[in-house]
Amino acid sequence: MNIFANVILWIVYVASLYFSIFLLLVYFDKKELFKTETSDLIPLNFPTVTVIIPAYNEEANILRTLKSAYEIDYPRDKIEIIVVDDGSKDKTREIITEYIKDKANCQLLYHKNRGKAASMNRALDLAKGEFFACLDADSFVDAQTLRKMLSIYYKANDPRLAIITPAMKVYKPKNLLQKVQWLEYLVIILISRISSHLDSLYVAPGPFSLYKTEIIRNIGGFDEKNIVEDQEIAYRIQKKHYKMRQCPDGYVYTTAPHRIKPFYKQRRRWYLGSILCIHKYKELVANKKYGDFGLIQMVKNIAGYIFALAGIFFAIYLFITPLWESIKSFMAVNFNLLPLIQNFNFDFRLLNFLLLDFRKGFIIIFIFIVGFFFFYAAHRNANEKMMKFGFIALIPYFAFYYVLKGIILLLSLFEFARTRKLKW
Amino acid sequence: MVNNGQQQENQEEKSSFRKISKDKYILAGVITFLILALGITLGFIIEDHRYNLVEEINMQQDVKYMSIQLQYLWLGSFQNLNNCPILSATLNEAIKELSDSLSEVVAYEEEKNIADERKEIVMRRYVIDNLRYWLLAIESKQQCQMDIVPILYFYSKDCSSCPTQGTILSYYKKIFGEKVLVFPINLDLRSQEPMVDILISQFNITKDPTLIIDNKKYEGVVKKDRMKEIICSSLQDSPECQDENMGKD
Repeated sequence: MNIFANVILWIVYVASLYFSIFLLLVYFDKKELFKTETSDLIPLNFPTVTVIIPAYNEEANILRTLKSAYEIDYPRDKIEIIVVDDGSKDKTREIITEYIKDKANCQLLYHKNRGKAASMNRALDLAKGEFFACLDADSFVDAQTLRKMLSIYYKANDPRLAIITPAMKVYKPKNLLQKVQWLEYLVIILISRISSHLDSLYVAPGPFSLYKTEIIRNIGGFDEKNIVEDQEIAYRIQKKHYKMRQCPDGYVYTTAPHRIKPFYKQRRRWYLGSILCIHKYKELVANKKYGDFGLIQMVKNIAGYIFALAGIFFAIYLFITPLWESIKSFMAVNFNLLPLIQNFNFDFRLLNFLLLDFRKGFIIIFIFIVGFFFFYAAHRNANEKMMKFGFIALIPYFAFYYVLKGIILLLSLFEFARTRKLKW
Repeated sequence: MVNNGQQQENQEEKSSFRKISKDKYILAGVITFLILALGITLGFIIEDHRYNLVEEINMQQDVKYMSIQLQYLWLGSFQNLNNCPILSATLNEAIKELSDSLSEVVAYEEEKNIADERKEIVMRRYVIDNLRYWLLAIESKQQCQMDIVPILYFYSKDCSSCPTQGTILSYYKKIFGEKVLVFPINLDLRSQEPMVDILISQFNITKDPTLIIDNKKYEGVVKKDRMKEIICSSLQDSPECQDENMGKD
């Protein structure tokens, strides 16, 4: 391996170690606070809340989403539901009309397909609530979440608090891909919780983030040109020095993609959108004026993408190339591997063991230990059992998932470079 | 001016909640540095240990080789062909030893991170050992009619088809066991070890991989079936060769 690759690898390792140790320090610093930080089911006030449900071709999921919004445990006269049909071509609109016809606090807007941000803005213009929440049509919300979020809001008692974010879980994961995402989301809940206390949240998830209507109107609503409006609004909030908080037990459930292709599409949108957002708000990067958000979070976000790309190149270099070489050489013996396997004696030699690149290995081991720790803490944080889905899902999570994400990032970038178009 | 000042004040008031967790930045840096330093220190210790181990292996081989050489001398001075079985047993054992250390040395060789002078010495000694055993094997074959195929295998690090040849060779080494003896010579060592240069000019080596079997030169990858023919023609009689032929019929 040449020196250049080695230097990059070292930087990646050391920086990853640094970031994970930093998060760990914050975690231990806030641990006591985490224990006592509770949300109440009875907030100080019961303000009016508007729930906005943008929907586009969601005939399969919309009914469940509508029901979950309608059944939110909150005074009926204080809640208003606005469903926006963004020009669906399927039966979405009929299902909505049928569901809301006898419900007074529900209304349906309709326009030609203009994107989610535009639908949100249109509903925002009409919203009567002091707060509004967006609920993606592929998600649904726990009945108590709204109360918990509002209690967090009133406890903070801060006029600059603009968004309360939920704790997002994957809804009943069935196949392996969904289970792996389920694990990922759990870890995200914990990491967001830590970020929340550093004023460093950078996403307001589509499923049920709670916004202060007045502030969002003041900063101009959602950016209709952006493909990840939920990240863009968060960056904008941070830039204008408003605050975001996570409600650590305000659960929402989302249906995770169960096939590779929709998964790829979703991630492509996230990753490309997020890169563009970072670019748009690049003045925040390493900017002292933005405190930990500028100095750590923004730097970490950028580093994350660079590391993922570096990681994928190294994965190819260290794993796939040798694999191809050995396939090629096995082809030479017509894959008649029986004699090779029969006499294969795995004898553990001290020397072979010592030959591993110990110095890098040492750091990787530490990164893994911190990773495992967060993994464990994330399960406790979200009240879940580690072995809910057994061992099987844990293996791909630790072994391939980050490589898979790296590959998706790489493919998305190639696609973007080729077509220069951003797709939803 | 007044307006400006007020705006700035507003701005400051807005961002007053922004904290910089400076103590944590520093602490995280210190911990990272400590882990790094610990890893590097342990790395050096392990490397030292590793070199000593390789050296030990080489010294053991030196002693074994001297012993075999002495046996050979003994054999020569007493002209007693009945000693051949003893010699063959010892040679085989020594060669097994050599192939065992091969994997270790090769792995040591692959690690290219630091220009390590000690590594160079280890590699040189390994090449010399291989050549000595090869010469011994050839002489044993001629004088004692031992049923073995000594193969001199020239390869280099940048040769793309060498892994293929390597797999084929180890395949037959597994099938024929101690009858097939492979002595790998790394051509990259030509600048360091004059013996490699001598070999290159003697056999006129221009390509890698190149095999020398029974004084014949084979350039480029020798494929599986061809390899078997060569080995079988060199062996006097071997059940592995017959088995396969019977199977084919």
